[in-house]
This record gives sequence, C-alpha cells and structure tokens, in this order.
Amino acid sequence: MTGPTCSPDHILCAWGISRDFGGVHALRGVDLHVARGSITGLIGPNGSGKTTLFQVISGMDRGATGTISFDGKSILGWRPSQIYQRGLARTFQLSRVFPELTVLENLVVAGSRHDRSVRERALGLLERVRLREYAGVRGKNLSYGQQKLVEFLRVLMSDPALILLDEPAAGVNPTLRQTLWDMVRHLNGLGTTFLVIEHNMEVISDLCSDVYVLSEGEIIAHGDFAAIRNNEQVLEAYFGKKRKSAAS
Amino acid sequence: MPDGNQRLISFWVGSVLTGLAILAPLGVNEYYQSFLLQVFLVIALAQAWNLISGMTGYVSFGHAAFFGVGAYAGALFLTWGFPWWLAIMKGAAIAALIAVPLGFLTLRLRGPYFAIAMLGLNEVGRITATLWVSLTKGGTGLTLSPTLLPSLDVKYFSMLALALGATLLIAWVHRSRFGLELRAIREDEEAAEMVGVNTTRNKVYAFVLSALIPGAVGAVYAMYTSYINPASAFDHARNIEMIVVVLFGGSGTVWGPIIGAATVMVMREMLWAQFPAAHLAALGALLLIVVLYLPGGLVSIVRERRRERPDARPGESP
Repeated sequence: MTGPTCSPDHILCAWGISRDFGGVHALRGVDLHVARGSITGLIGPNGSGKTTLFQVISGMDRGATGTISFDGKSILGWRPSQIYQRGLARTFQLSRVFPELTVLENLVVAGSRHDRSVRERALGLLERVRLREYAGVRGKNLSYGQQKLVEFLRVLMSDPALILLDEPAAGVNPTLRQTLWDMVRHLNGLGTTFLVIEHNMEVISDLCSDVYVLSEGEIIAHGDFAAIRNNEQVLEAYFGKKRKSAAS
Repeated sequence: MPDGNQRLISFWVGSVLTGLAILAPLGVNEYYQSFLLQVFLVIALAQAWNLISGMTGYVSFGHAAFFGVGAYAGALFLTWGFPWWLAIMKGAAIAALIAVPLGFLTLRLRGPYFAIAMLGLNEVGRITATLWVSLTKGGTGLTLSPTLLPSLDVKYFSMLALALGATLLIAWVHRSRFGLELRAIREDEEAAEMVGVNTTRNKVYAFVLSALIPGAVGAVYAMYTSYINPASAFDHARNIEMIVVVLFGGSGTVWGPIIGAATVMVMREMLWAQFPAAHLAALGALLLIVVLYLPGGLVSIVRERRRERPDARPGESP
C-alpha cells in the first residue's frame, strides 16, 4: 500500500500528524503542506501545538503518528541529525546557543564536517549581521537578542532548504529584529523555504504567502493572511466564543 | 597573546616536562621513580576520565572498572606467556571491546542515572573477579612471578608513554571537530543533535577511547604491583581519584588533569609525611576550597583570560 504523495511543488508535506501526551491530545491529525520557496506562517493561540508540531517535524519528538515527507523522503522517525543533514533546520523558541562555546564555535559545529572553509563561512555570516567582533565571545555572554541571532546564523551554516523558525523575534530588540527579518527575506529570495511560528501578525501578513492556523492541536484554517484574518473559527480561537452582537 | 604563541608555549612546556620525565630515572632513586610512575598513572586515568566526563558532561563513577579489566587481562596474559607489551595491548583492547556495548547501553542515560549505572559497572567487575575463581583465583588474587615481570624502568617508561599518549590524544580531540562536537553535546545534547551532530556515535567513540587508556594503565599497574585482587583492581577510591584530580586541575581541558594530578599527588605525599593522621582531611579541605572558589579548576585562572577575546579559533583551550 502506498501512502499519500507530496507534490514536487511542496518541500514539506505532513498528513494526519497526531501526538498524545498521556490524556492530552497535543496534535490531532494535522495536515500541512509547505510550498517550495515560500514563507509559510504557522499561528495559533498559546498551547495550540505549534512547537510540538515543530518538534515532530524536526525529529526531536519521535512519538507521533502520521506521515511526513521532506524533499521527497519520508522522515518520520529519523534522528534530528539525519533530518538536519538532509536539509531541514530549525531554531528554538527559547534561545539554545551553546553557552560555553564561543560564537564562532557555535557556528562551526553546525557546518559540514567536510567543508574546509567552514570557519570563513561562519565569519562571513557574522560579518553580515555585524557580530564579527563577537566571534571569540562565549555564547552565554551575549545579550538574549544576539543569542537568538547567533542561533539563526547557526542553522544557515548547513545551507538548509527549509528552515523552521520558532518565534525567532521574541525578546529581540527592534534593530536586531529588523536585521533578522531582512535576512529571512534575502534568503527566501535566494530560494530558501521558511515555516515560521510568530505572534506578531504584522510580520505574518508582511512575510507569509500562506498561513496555517492551529488551535487545540488541529488545523482550523489555511490560506493567505487576508482570508485568515476574517475567518470566524480563527477569531473564536483567539478571542473566545462567538461575540454577541450589541443588541442581544 | 596570539594563538600561535600559546600553542608554542604549550609545546615547549610539554617538551621540557617530557624530557625531564625521560631523564628522571638517571637522577632519582627508586622511591621517587615509583612516585613519578604513580603520578603518570593518575595523569593517564584522569585524561581518560576527562575525555568522556570532562568533554561530554557524562560523569562516570565507574571508570575504574576498565582499569580493573585491564589489570586482570594484563596479569593473565603475562602469566600465559605473552610478552609484557602484548599483555598491555590486550588489556587495552579488552577494556575497549567491553566499552562498545556498554557505551550503547549506558549512554542512553543522563546525569545521575549514567553515574549510578557506571558505579554499578565497577561493582559488577569486582564481584565477577571475586566469583570467577577458575580464572582470577577470586579473593586470593593473582600473584605475578618476578621472573615474568619487566624491570622498573620498563614499567616506568610504559606508564610515562601512556600518560603522554593520553594527553596527546586529549590535545588532538580538543582541537578537532570531534572535540567541538563533544563539547556541544556537553552544553546541550538536543541542540547539538539538531545541528547535525550524531550524538550517539560521538559519545560511544569517546567512551571507547576513554576505556582503552585505563585498560592499558591497569595492565601496567598489575605488573608494577605484581599482585592484584578484586578489591585493588576495582577500587572505588580510584574512581574518586580520577574525578578529584580533574576537578582540581580543570575539567574539559588538556592541562587540567596534568596540573591536578601533579598537585594532588605532591600534596598528598607532603601532607602524609607531615600529618600522618590527618593528611586526608587536610587534602579534602584544600580540594573543597578549590572547588568552591575555582569551579573551573586551577587551569581556569589562565583560561578565563584567554577565551574571552575576539577571533579565538574553534577548539582553543589551554
């Protein structure tokens, strides 16, 4: 028996992803398709299962059921390192730079073992965001915003085809935030695909061509931002049960 | 100070110390030669422990098990007529072979669970050596005939070679991509896996390498003492000694275990002579002070100054 097939236009396809933690259904039959070269948004209220879905796609949580196809390969059950080497990288909601490694080491460790110019590549990335002078500083001594930026640069070391960004701008100051979004746009222009969790709706409307809305573990809406913003189910998920009219 | 100068200083200090160690048997009596041999033994064991625990953060309370296995293997192969150097190599190989399946099993555990599993391993080794009377002569122990044993010079230089080899191995690992990945595992194993580090493979490699050294050291130790029994081969105090020495000198560094071993051994010798009744308490108090006020060990005094500077190369460490 053959499973569902992912169209060549899509770099990532997920069908029927479910994940339970004891009696809690964190994900219930989630279907998601990310178009190649797109910036796709994943939004939803707190606790809706967005990060859990990232955990499952990136291989960090291997307890889910369903099917995930990345770049033509079924990856459910793969180790995170295998998925990363295949070209899917992710950042974390809370910064997870290696605190005792220098900024340069943080980047080099994420580069290919066979890349002889990995150090130069890392320095080039740091130069681009004006962090070159921090190359020898330990991760733990950076500001939180700088740590988030270094974590973002770290995933770029492998030239991934798809990057999952989990609230990359949370806790980052406006200047660094702008730098980060500019880089996302630039890389997207070069062909990198992004799947982004973000609470700032301005960013989502500005960046994302396609948006999925997750609520209580289920995809409740999908489409462009204009369609999503007026969707009754989405408004309910964010603001609670149907708003009564002033008259009633 | 530029990176090249640091490496040059390390190279010259290391070369001078090695030269002095090679020449020492010409100028010191057997007592001091034996003392130096024991310092080399502790350096080699501490470097081995440093490789798995200092670099990956998997704190082992049972590496003496590999020492014990090596001691018994070395003693038995010597008894069976193998030359001393082959007996040492077999001790190392058997310890490493045992470490392969053990690594896959125990390195799934983290933190205290791994530490306890390793502690249990040491006990399993001790009890096995006690009960396998046909091979080990149980609690009676194995006595090696003086005719089979190499000279003190051979044992001295064997132990020196092991301490030097273990140190060079650590130095290489530290500067290598492998070492960088081990340190990433120590910092955040999940994040390391997420940036492409095959954490299981790296941990098992480090574990096997860290078992190989105590295996060889154990074999030389058996020849040095000419007698082993389960209590001396699988002595839990040796586990503590490895940990204390590395913490004292500086965990996860190349020079830390050397400085730690030399300082602890010399202090122990001096305190033992001055305060025979209270020397362990005095040593313990001193260690407590270092751990409290210098959590990175003695080597951190230099390290803190060096790491925080622009353009430090990956893998740099004193």
